Amino acid sequence: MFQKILYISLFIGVGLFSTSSTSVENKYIKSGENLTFTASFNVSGIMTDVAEVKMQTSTVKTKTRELLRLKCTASTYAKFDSYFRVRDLYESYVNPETLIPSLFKRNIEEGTYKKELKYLFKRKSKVAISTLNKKGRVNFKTNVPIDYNTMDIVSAIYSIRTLDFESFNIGKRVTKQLVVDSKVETVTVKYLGKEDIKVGKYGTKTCYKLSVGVGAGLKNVKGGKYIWITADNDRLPALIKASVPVGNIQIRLTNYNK
Amino acid sequence: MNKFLSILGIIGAILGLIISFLPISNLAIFPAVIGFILGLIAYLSTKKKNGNTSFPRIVVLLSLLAIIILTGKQLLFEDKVENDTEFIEKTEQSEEDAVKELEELEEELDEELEEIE
Repeated sequence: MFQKILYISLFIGVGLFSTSSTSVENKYIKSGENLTFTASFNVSGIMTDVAEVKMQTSTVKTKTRELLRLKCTASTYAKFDSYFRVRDLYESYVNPETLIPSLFKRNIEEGTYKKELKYLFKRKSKVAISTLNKKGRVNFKTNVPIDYNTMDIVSAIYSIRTLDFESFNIGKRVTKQLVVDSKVETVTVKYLGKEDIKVGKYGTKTCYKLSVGVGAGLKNVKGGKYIWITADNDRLPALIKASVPVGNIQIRLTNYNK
Repeated sequence: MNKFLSILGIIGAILGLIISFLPISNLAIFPAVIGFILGLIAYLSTKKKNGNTSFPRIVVLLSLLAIIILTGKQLLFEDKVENDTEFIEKTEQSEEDAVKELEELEEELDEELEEIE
């Protein structure tokens, strides 16, 4: 369930970014951004806070380059740790200007389940080398065909924030390709207009509302999956809501600093 | 009838008490409130008939206890993530490993970025 929570939050974010095959121009995502969210699960009509999700950006220097590290973590609250401890880490190392990833890493620890997944994007060869480590599979490599704009789930969620929503008409759809579980998936995002949302201690903010679905259309999406992004220069993902077969998940922004 | 209500009430109260000690303590509100209402009805009805009110009273008290515990937990305890140094070290190590991997592929990365840019 926790993996689902983080994945839904990331996945929802993912769809919206680039409207065409050209790279996004990043004007909003800078190094040093820290966002904290509370993930809640609706049980019998009552929201139960289960985990903290963090999204952080930092600069990483290699010998010749400066990249932006996009890090997302999910950790269960201490009260759940004795029952089902989750420590998930998702990272993407991207070009700071285009948010195009070079390396994606996923390291999840959920209860007794552990899994490591890595994608190395070789855009010249139009392939992402996926390396999987989990019980029963060690260094299992797969070549995933990609194009120049294929992203991973983390870079995608950041990319959506850079879209020019002001120029969108209500109902506009955007599709994007990203590598998920060593396969390329198409994510479709629909712009639903503006809404005022209460953002924790920061009061009410006007947000862009978007619905997100996996696949070329939104028809096959079960339940609603929505994200609200603040309509200001911060472009913060203020609220995420998703319906899953066993209930509803809600991820809300509780704290941020830039 | 009062006995039946009291039995249902005590089930709700005990369930509420048990759940109030779990991490999902806010869900205890349902059985606890049901236990409280049934216990109260049984108590008032039994009292009207001058019967023995000790069992319904226990139901009401246990339900109230469950409600107090869950309310207290909600008000007094803030949800916190454990300061997990192992996880912090893992994220730092992951960054170091990533830099090495990126540097190993720097030549290829250069070409890729040039093309993208």
